[in-house]
Amino acid sequence: MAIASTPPASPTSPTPARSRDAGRLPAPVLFGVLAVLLIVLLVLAAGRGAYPISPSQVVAIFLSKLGVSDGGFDAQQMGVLWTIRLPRVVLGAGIGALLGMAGATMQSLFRNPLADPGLIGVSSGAALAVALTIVFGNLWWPGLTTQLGLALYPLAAFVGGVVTTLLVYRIGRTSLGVSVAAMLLAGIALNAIAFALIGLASYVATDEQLRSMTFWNLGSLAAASWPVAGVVSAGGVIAVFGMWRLRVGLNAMALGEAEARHLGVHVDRLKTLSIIFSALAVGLAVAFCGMIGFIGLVAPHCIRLIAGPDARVVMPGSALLGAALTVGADVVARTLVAPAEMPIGVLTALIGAPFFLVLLLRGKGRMMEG
Amino acid sequence: MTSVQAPVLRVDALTVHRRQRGGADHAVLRDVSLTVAPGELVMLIGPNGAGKSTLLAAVSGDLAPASGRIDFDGKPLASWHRKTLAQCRAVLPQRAGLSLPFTVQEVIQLGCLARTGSHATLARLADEAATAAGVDHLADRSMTQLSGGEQARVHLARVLAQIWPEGGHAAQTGTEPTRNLLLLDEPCASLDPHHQHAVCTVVRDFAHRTGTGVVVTMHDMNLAGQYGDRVVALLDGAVVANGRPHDVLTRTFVQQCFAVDAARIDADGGLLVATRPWAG
Repeated sequence: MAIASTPPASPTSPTPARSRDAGRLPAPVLFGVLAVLLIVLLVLAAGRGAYPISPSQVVAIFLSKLGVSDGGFDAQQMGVLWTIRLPRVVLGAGIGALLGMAGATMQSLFRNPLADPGLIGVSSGAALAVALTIVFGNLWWPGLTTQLGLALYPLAAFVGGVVTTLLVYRIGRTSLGVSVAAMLLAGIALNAIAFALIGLASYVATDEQLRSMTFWNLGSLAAASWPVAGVVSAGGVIAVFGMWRLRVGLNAMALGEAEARHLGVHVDRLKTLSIIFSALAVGLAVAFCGMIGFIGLVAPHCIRLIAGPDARVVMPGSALLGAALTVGADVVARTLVAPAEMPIGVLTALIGAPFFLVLLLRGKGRMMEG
Repeated sequence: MTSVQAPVLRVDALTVHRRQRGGADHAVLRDVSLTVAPGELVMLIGPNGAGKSTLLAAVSGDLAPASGRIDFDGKPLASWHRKTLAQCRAVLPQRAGLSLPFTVQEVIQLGCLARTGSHATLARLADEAATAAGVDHLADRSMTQLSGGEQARVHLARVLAQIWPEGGHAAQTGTEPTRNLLLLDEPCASLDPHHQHAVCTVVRDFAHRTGTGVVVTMHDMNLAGQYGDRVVALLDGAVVANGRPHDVLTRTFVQQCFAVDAARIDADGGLLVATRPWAG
């Protein structure tokens, strides 16, 4: 009853061909390589800066904190590492992981490998919400800043992110998925609106408000501290776990919304949760580090090229690679023009935007169909 | 096929509206009634715009009917739980897309999403479905590298895998037949003649062997007549014929329904229908 694989009379009987997919890297190998890369980068990044600490000293300080060994470094090195460098690299890794995983989630949700929180306006929507909160928050709700403390900006960014993601999704959706053209155009419009309003907010802002706002436009990890790293980690765990639980449904979405529904996926719930958790991830990143673009585009894309599009591999892979990319970019941003510091968002855009252009050109014909 | 059994699908007086640009509702299906028995292969034919795909979309739950009733296995379709439904009903859309470059094997295994069972069992079911659809040799290929016809067969394998019986290739005789339903929208549209017949054979054997009720929309009356246990013809959103292929696909009927000149040859294996432009 089976269809013969190579029917003698079939004009289209396929020749067995060795495909490039056989060359996919197995997931455990991928995760292992990425984890080693991330750890090496973390150690290097923790040591680089105006006050250099060698990698062996970084490891020695760690071991002494664990009570394993002692010596090989002085107290000042330990102080710099523990209070300045470590929060920063931890924050960078956390933000990068969140951005990478949010990118992977959005690309599955939008059924489109070009969806990136920065490009489609989610980051700027979140940044706008934060800017408005800084400038007008205490006007509308006296005492807001002190009452909510560190949680205020992530909350504002989260709301801004959810609203923008919903908008882009509504604007770009067609029966065949989200149209690239509509999605990117919606992103342009939303970015323009957000930047105009952020500009307006900074125009009326006080000097102090302005100082706390400037770094969003460019993105920076300079606000790192243990409390910030703690808030990002706590919120990040929720976002990462929330997105990870959607992996099977997101795989089915590749077939289409109706097809996913026929396979038993609760599509409406999947969409809502994807938007909430990816907006939470992007919101956390934006709230403390401003707009760091293209990590969410580059990381999932590289993982898919290396290991295939299965969300069960792409999600953790993008988190690891996103973390490594962000930590690496921050080191470069800190040391390239030392003693000054280049905003990391500028660096990721300089590298990420050409990458995006190449993707766009390579798939031009196909992508404009939607 | 026996029709004394309780039908796996019963459509009663179904009417579906489509809102037009002006705002007025236009009935795309009018008072359509249909039953599908377990193990029965029903071929749904009709000219473009007759409502074949709309009927299939309504039965698959993608379109809400304006009035009428759709019962699956004796229970209203809307009362079925999403997951339970996915375990006994599979739907193949007319145009199946894929937004990411999954391999053939991964796509077919996605069909097993709602199934319960060990990873090894599900992988075996997916392999059996792939073999049946003749795409087992493509397992490691990326979907993006395949021709349209190959992709169509992979998606057929995916929906077969969704309701493929655990017994596998073993004959199901003696065991309780499944109460499954398979809905295929134009499964042969992008296939060459060899694969058209191959797919129809697989689908018919699957229906008869597993007791699955199958509804297939089909443009090719030749295939509909040769493989269908029953042929249902739609015209302007209404059922105009419903019966054995031999009785429905008469020369006059084909000529009137499709506005073509037709010839019918009753061959020993089944009937052949050939068409040419209307001469009149």
